[in-house]
Amino acid sequence: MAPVVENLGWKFAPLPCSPTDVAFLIVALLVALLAPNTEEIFRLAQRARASEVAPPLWRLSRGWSTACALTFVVALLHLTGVTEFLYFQF
Amino acid sequence: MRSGSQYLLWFATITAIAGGVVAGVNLGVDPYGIHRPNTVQSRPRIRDLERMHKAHAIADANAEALLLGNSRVIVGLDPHHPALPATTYNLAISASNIYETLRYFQHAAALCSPRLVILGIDPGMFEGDSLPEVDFSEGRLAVTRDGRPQPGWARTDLAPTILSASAFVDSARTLAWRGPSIRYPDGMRDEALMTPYRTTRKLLAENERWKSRSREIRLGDRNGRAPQVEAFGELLRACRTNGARLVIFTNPVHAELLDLMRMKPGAYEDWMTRVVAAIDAEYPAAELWDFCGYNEITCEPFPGPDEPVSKMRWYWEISHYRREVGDLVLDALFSRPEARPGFGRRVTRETLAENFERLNRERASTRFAAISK
Repeated sequence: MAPVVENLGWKFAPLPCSPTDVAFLIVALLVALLAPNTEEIFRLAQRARASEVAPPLWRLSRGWSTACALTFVVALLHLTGVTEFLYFQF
Repeated sequence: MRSGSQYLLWFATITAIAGGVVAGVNLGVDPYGIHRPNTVQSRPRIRDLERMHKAHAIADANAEALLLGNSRVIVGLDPHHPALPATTYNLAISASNIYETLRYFQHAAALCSPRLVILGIDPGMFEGDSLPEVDFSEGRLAVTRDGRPQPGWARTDLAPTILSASAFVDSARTLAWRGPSIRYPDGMRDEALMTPYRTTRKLLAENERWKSRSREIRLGDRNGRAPQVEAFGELLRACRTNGARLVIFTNPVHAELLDLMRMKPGAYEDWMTRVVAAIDAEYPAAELWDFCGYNEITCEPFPGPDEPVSKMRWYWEISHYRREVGDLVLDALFSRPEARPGFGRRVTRETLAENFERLNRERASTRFAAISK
């Protein structure tokens, strides 16, 4: 395929990110596509309709509290960070 | 767990524990060497965060003497050289322009009372359009440019270095580091960080990088001002009002780089003339020494591509001289018996023209194979 694509004027270049970054992107994509979203976790809309609904995934439990707390801490830790010197600028 | 209050209590407990673990690790490891614990022996991450590290480290240095400049000074000038006071700190910062140097001097002068300042300069530091690097922060300096105290300066880096994911990752990298010890003793960059340039391939690649980036240095900016020259005047005044003896020297870059600096006829001479004029106007007692030239040291040949390991004695690569050269600079500045005759000379308004003639003469008659005619 490569010669054909290159004949069309496209070029192959190294990815501008590390294998770790690619792995992280794949995990993030799987989470985005497969994990339940907020609505599914809390089923807020279905509860409001007061119809026969499945119980929400979320409940008052230590597991959920721990997960939420850890998510909160991770978010908190990304609010700030150190700024590195960029060697390419000089 | 039946009630919302129990849920929230558990949430708060986990948050406090997780946050506490992160803060404790970051404080304990202190990957940037700013919180002063003595738990680890090597902090490789300082290299990328020198501005932050040095702004805090100078507060504890109680320095009588400061070494200022860019990475050439960080790498080449040893604060433990016998000619220097016992408490000398290398406050030079990578790719620094004169404005950043001025701000770090003001910061240091607000925290200690340096009586001696040694400043290494080259034309690139005076480039009119240059801006402070991205890791420079006004907020972490003890005074503003016009001298007003910033009492909260030491707190500005608390959150980023204690409660941040990037600091946590850097703590882990510090603990996992198995390379040579990186300590930045009194601000000097550890030689271990320069050892990659012992590999000829890396050295020659770095030379090419410098050559390809070489350009004419313009002192004026797009508004017709020369902000770095103005900052230089401010730095001279600041040293004078603080009662610090100021010794300025031109970095002895390799002759091939000096050729690139002198590429545009008259530009180098114009720069040095303005430096001398600023000294005369603001701090006539300050000394200026020129170490640029074409001699046995600056014309040291680079290794050929067929030599895998560099055996250069004086240079890491085209831009950075080794500590051995820095020692010769300090020997000359302090008239020590070890000084090498002919290496470095005092420049004043009276000797300026003679110094330019000397450069031209050396360039024209150079007998060193490393420099093509």
